[in-house]
Amino acid sequence: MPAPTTTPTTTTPGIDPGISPWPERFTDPARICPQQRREGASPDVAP
Amino acid sequence: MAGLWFEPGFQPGSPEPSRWVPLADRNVSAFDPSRIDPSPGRRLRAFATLVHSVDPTTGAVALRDTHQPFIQPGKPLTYRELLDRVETDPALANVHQVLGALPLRLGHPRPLVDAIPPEHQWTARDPDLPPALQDLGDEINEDIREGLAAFDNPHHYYPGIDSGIDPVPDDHVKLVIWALQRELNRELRPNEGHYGGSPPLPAAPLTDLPWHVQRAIVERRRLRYLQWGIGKAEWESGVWSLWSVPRDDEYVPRRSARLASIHGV
Repeated sequence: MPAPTTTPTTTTPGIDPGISPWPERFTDPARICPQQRREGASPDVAP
Repeated sequence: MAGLWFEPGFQPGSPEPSRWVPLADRNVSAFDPSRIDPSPGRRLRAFATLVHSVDPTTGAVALRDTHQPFIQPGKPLTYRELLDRVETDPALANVHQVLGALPLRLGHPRPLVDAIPPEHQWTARDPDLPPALQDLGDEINEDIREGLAAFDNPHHYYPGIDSGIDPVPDDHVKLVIWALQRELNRELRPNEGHYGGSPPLPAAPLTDLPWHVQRAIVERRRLRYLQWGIGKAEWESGVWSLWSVPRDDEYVPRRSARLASIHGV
C-alpha cells in the first residue's frame, strides 16, 4: 500500500477568521457622497 | 436620493438609461463627473464639467453657473471639438483665460491649515474641491480605500511614491492623515447592500494603519494633486488652471473604471 501523501501547509497572510473584512467594519471612503469626496481631498491642507 | 450615484444608469426622470458614448464623441450637454462614467481624458473630463449646453439646436454653450453662451456654432459640437476650439481659437481667448484661473477651494474662505489644531472645532463643512476636480477627489479616496486593505492583511503591498514629488516630512504625514480622518468621520454609510435601516459603519481609523501605509497615502495624495497640475504654489494662491491639467487622453478614473466593470457600463 502506498504511503499516504501529505499536503504541504502554506500560510497566507490574511484576516483573522474571527474578524470580518474591513468593508464590513468601516465605511468605504469611496461610497460617501460626491461633495464629501471632494471635501476629503482637504484642499485647505497642502498637497 | 442617498446612494443613487452608485447606479450607472441613473437619470432623474428617465426610466431608460441612454446609450453610453465617450465624452470625446458626445455632444455637449451637462456632464457630472461624480456619475459612473468611464469616459477617458483627464483634461477633457475637467473641461466637460466646466461647460454646459444652453441650446442643443444651435450648439450654444455657456460656462458652468452661467447662461450666457460663449459660442453658438449653429450645430451641436462634441466635447472634444469644443475643447479644441477653446484651446486654439483666438476669438475664444477670454474663455481660455477664465479657464486658466479657477478657484481651488469652495466654501466659506478660511485660513489654510499648516498644523494640527490643538483643539479642533468641528464644522458642518470644510473647504472642498470644485466639481471640475471631482476626479482628483475620487482618486484620493481610492488611494485611501486601497490602503485600508492593510487592516485585513498586514503584508498588504501598498507602495508610496519614490520620485516625482518633493519629500514628505513625518509631520506632514500626520497633518494630512488628521485632515483625511476629519472628513471620513463626517459622513458614514451602511455596509454595501444594507441600505434601509442599517446603522452606519464607523469611519476607518487611519492612524491605526501601519505607518508606511499612512505615509504612502500622503505621498500618493501629493502626486495626485500634481497630476492635475496643482503644486504648493497653486495651493497657496488658491488658483488652478485647466491648461495645467495634462491632456492624458487615455486616463480613466479608477473609481469609474472599477464601478463600471461591476455594473456593466
